[in-house]
Amino acid sequence: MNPNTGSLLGAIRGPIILITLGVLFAIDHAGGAGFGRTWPALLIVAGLFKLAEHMAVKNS
Amino acid sequence: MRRSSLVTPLLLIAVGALLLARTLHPELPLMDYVARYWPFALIGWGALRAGEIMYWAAASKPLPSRGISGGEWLAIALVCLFGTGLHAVRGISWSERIPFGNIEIFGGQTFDYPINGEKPSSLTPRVVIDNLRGDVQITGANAATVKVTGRKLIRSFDQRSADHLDQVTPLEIAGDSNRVVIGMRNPGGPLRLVTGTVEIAVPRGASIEAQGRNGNVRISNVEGAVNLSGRGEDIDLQDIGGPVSISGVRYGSVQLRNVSKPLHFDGPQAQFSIEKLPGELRLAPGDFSGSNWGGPAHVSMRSRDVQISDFTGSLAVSVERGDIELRPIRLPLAHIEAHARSGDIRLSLPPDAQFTLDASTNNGEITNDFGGALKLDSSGRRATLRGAAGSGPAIEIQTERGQIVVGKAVPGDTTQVLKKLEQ
Repeated sequence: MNPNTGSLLGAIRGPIILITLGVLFAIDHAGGAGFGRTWPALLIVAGLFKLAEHMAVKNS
Repeated sequence: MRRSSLVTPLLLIAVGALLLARTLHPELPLMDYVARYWPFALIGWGALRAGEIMYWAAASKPLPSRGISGGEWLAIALVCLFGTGLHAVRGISWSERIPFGNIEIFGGQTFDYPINGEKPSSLTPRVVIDNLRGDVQITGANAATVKVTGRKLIRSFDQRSADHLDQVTPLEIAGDSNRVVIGMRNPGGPLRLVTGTVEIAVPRGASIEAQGRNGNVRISNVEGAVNLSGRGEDIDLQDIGGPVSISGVRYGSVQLRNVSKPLHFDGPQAQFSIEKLPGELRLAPGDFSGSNWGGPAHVSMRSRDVQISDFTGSLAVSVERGDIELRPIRLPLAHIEAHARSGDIRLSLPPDAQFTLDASTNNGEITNDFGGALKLDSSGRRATLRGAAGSGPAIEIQTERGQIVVGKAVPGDTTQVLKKLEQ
């Protein structure tokens, strides 16, 4: 894996979490699953990024 | 060196454009757009940031350790608080029809359920429409009963959820024979996903009261009072025998025809009251027009063109931004006042009308068709036209910025106003 991948993943984590936040609120306002039920998806996205960063650092 | 981001300037431009649109078009329901679509600002914000970082990575530029700074997360938290608060207060959902194209991305499907109900009443009941969302059409009939038919529309992702919402939001016709209350039971929660198209037949002598959020409201052939409040879209009233009172925010147009008693309209951008309306009037987002009024009448608009023809009784019109065109046809004239802060005023009078005129503009010109009976004075940008044609009522016209035309009307020429009303 490219040694810069770790820093790229770290940098892009925030924007992706922000996009996820927006999508969850959009679904809530559209009458789909409420944000009160879907917010753990944010933790999952953050966890996936952390995992990917960990693997990137390990492989570099 | 700190990299400059496009997010902050674009956010500033977006907020500025929103506020500018609000000042230029105050009639637009911008807050409802914000309440509905604000999550897309977060998505756009994140996408822009991600795009920037990918670009920097592709260009082998140093990347920030954090894609979103602490200050930005604070701003995002404030946006979320404001957005969710506004959404809760406004009660907006995409299943409701607020004009903004036909954007429905996560809207699910619409499920359709019949509505039926009937209740015997007196010949002059008070019918209250309470918390009935959607389009309502009320018609007076020669019967001592209130009869409701129509369709309930439920927006949901699946049939089971829609069936559940249908069961917990039954149509209720409550009250007694003198006061009939029609509404849907509110179970709390997603009532905003339930709308409907309801037709209500009421005794001709009924009075009508509708409150809460409604879509289009059409009422015809009713002898009692009509009282509409809250937010909604189009209003169309025809052949109303009692007084009419309308208050609240209307996103569509308001059309009234043949109202026998006084009518009052009180909205955030427009207020008017008319003693009686044998003819018609139409209030649309950009203009207000009417024909065949019985005065006294008062009209106050923030940002609309006003056209009124064929009125009797006194008339007072005040407009902040917009042109005023008045065309009284019948003689003798009554007292007329027209004030515009920014806009032209055109007054077309019958050729043999008698009146006393006081017209002035602080920044514009005055055109006079009545010759030497009226004296025109101009100094700098200011102009006045004063004088009397015979002995008649006072006509006061004033605009801060705009032209004034005092012209002679061609008898029977109400074409322009009628065209507006027909639109």
